[in-house]
Order: sequence, then C-alpha cells, then structure tokens
Amino acid sequence: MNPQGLQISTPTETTIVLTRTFNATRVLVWAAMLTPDKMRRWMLPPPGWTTTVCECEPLVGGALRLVWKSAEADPAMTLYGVFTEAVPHERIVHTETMVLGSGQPIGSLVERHEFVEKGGVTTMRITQTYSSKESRDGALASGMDQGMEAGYQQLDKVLAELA
Amino acid sequence: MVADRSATLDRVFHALAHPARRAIIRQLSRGERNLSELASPLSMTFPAATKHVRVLERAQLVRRRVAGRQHLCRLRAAPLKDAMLWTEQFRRNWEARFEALDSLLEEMKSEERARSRRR
Repeated sequence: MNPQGLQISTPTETTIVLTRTFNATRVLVWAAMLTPDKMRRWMLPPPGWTTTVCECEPLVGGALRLVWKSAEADPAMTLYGVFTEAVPHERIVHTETMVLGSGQPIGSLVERHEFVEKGGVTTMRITQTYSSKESRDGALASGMDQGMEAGYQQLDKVLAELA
Repeated sequence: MVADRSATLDRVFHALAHPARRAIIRQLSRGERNLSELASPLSMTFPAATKHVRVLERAQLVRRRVAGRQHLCRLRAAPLKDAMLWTEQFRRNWEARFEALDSLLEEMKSEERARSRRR
C-alpha cells in the first residue's frame, strides 16, 4: 500500500481518525500546519470560497480562527477554536466550532493532532471527536452529493484500504 | 428511505469497526470459506467466529449458506461500496488539503537547503 496514503477510520461512534504520512521532519510538518501564512496554503476552503482571515496561535489558550468568503453567499463562514494542549512537534489539541454567516453554529468538535517521525518521514494522526454520533455522521457525509457524482470506487481499492 | 439507508450504513460501519471482522472480510474477498476456515487463521474459537459472522450478516456484508454440515460464507460487496461512497467527499476534501501540504513541505525543504548552502 502507498505509505503516503490517507487512512480514515471510525474507531468509536463519535470519532473519526485520519492518518497520513509526509515526507518531511515533524518540525517542518508542525510549522507547515500551524504557521498562519503556511496554513492558508493547505487549509483549503470549499471550491468557490477564499480565505480572508487565518489566525493560529499554537499555545495552550491560543486562538484558532479562519474565515472564508464566497461571492454568492455573503455572510462569511467562520471556524474558531482554542488550543487546549500543545507539546511542540509532538501533539496539539484544539476545540473547533464552525459558524455560518447568520451566526448559526453548525457543529463543534475536538481535534487532536499527533506527530511521529521515523527516518525523516512524519506520520500524522488526527483524531476528531464530535459531540454526538449524529454530528460525526454528518461530518462524514458532508459533500455527499458531489460524492455521488464522483462515482463508485473499485471494490479492490476498498478492500486494500481495509487491509 | 433515508432512515433505512442510514440504519444500514450504521450496521456496515459497526461491522467494519472490529479488526477480526475486517480480517474475515479480507479472507472472503478471496472466495467462499466455511466457518472453521475463517476461524483458524485468526486463532479464533468457532463460537467467536460465528458471532462476528452474524454481525457481518446483519450488515448484509456476508451471506451464509448451509451445504451439508458446512456453513459457507460469501462476501457481498454492495454495502461496502455504499459505505465508501458515503465518506468519499470527506476523504477527497482531506486528500486535497494533504496534497497541498505535500507541495508546501517540498517548497519549505528547498528553502531550507538553499539557506544552509548560503551559510
């Protein structure tokens, strides 16, 4: 299996775990993920949206704030949170709430990132913990309509990913 | 209909959440097997294997037929495809982000190399 491949699993009813390897040291992965000007480059909004605010202070009590805007939907979409745990280059935990322009929160979760480096390759594990099974399932199903258009995956691929 | 579909998906995700059941699915992807053929490579007792197969049956991932004294199990792919489809866009979004992160990291590495050459 591709060592870089993204693995997604749902070990409990309220969690999603994403695992991905990067061909870089964990010091570099940490900087790329948590420095605001770098973060803008990868924390991509949905197609048609642009990032207008990107703030990230990876210390305990530090804030995380991202604002996205689109031409059609005027009030922006905001993601905000607070860092509750931070061990540089090892692990970081933050809360996260998504808010629509109307001020309506559409879900919150706790996201934990863990970084393990071996021979210059970093494995990052993200654990998202949702408040309920329903919101977890909702997050997994986001963009389901586009998913439909994308068509069915080959069963072989599905089985390979289960391996 | 939506509720039906969601209940089916719940059973599929629950069935896939256990490593022993994923191992059973992997074995069945190579063809039909009887219960003891499924149990022995996993060093599992016969009742334990039966229990896991029942969970897989409820999720409609496995169909069992009785041939003489044997219980033969066969994999059904359709619910797996549905489960994958359900999470496809979530996966794509994250994959797109991580691919962007890959290129960013390559850029940062060459900047680092350039800096150390200048020193």
